[in-house]
Amino acid sequence: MIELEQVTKTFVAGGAKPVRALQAIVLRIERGEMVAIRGASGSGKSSLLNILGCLDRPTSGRYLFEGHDVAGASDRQLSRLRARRIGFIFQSFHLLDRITALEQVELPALYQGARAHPVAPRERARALLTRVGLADRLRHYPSQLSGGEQQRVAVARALMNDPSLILADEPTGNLDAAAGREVMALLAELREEGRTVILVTHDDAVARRAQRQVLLRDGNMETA
Amino acid sequence: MNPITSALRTLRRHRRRSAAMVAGLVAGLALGMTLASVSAASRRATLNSVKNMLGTFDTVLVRPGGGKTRGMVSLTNVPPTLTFEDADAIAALPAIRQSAELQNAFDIDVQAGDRTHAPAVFGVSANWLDLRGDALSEGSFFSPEQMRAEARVAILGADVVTALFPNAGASAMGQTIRLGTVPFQVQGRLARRGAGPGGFSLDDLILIPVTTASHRLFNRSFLTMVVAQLRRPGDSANAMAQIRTLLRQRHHASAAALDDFTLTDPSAVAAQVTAVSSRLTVIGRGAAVGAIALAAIAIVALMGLGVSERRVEIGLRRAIGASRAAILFQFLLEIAVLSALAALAGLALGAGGILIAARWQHLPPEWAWPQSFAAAVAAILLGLACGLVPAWRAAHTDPVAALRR
Repeated sequence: MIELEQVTKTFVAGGAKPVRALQAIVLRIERGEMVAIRGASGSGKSSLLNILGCLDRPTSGRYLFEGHDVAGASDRQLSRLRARRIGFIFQSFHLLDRITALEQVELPALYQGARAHPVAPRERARALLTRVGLADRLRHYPSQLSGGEQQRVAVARALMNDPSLILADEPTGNLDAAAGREVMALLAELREEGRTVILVTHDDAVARRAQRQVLLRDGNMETA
Repeated sequence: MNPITSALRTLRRHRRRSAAMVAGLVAGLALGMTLASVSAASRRATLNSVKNMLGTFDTVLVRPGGGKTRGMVSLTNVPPTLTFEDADAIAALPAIRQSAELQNAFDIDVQAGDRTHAPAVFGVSANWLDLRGDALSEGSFFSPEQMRAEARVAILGADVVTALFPNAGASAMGQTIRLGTVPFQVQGRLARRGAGPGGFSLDDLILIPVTTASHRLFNRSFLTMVVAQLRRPGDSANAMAQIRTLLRQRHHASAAALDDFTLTDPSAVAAQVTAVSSRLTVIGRGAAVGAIALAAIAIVALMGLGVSERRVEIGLRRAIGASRAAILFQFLLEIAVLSALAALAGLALGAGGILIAARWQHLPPEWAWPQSFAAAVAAILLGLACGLVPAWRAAHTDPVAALRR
């Protein structure tokens, strides 16, 4: 499913010394695994997640995603992978202002291309929101939803394109314990459906729900 | 949600900023349309009034004097160089179909019963009506025989009838009026012609046979004007050359002498008159251009601001699968939709402006829809062009940086 070979990422910030965010990462993740990436802030967790999510390209090394070599892919090819195979969940939800829950979940359909889906986006969005327990919140705006509800909308949005890979960046970081548990239960469900789930977290309790933990320290990987 | 409804909602969400972005486009377009109508209407009105005065443009006006006399001549300031014989010779030129003779004065009191009035008095030849294409609303014009006989008959303009014969029930036909001390019989009434250039009435006049004017009224044998009608419309350059050669020869002008007459091509005069834009039009045109330039700046600046504010949205859209091209398209679509709305608003406002200006001008509105639509399309293209840089920036927003918490 996912293979990283000697992946490095270097940032060059205006004039300053280049910063090595990732150094020679070697990682293999099988389909249906749930993997937690841990590490202090600045350890390279987010850089790794962005590369895994095809939002960013490694500076060097090889990244195979479902057999595609991502390192050399064009912006269009990467975007198509994100649109069809990958779902993102963020710590701060990143719902758009002033559109309803239903419309948030529908949004990814804009970018799925000509691939005809038998069910209309609106119907799929409704089904997904029902699945995450928000059947009675379809017309609510983000400002009318609790944090836990917002994150569940975001989970539904991530599922809109029926992805094989779910990437969650501190998905419970802005939630209280109860809401966090609900979201983690959802992620566990997704893994059971055969989706690969990779999450970045500080939280031990969250990390323990993963089968495997990857610890990053200064851009180097230590398998726990 | 399809891309266009999505764009519309984004614009509505930021309606103040959207409005500020394209207010200049709306104003510029509306102002431009209105001004185009205002100047076209006044141009047409001027042309009409000149045409009203001259009857037809396909003439050459021949006046005595070498360009030293200005404006409307009267008997007191006319050099006695243009004669009846000159007029006959001009009529015989190959480029000329016919010529009309004219003697006029503005300072003659006209009396009917106990009423007096001081209209312009024109002595004209019997072909005057035909040459100008004017019509009578009552009675008949004087005949060539009456002209030869120096008959004391008069044709009244509509204003003169109103002034001298205010009783609408009684016809002026057959009544006697006095020009100075000479009695004339009213034989016809001219159809109303309206206003000439500058707005003065073209109906405040009396026409009498030019021979009668010359021998019984003014006691002068020379003419104040000969109106030579072109045989072929548009042939005025050729006709003027023929007339100049003829008159110089008839007046025994030496090669070094200046002309003792003045030739005028009315269509050239009309073109000159209508080419002058009023100061208002010039200022207005500047304002329209300024508004559009302001809109260009506003679009670049405010759309750039919007891109900065919407970094997270851009990052999110990238994460859920939008390519750079898709983001570029989204922002260009937004500005295109906005510019299109602005163009529609500008057209509507311009149409309103045209109607208001027409009412204010007391002239019929001048619609120029093809040009207006072309301007609207140009406004949309300008909006798109100005949106290109901000849209490009949006497309190249780094999603990783944008989504960082």
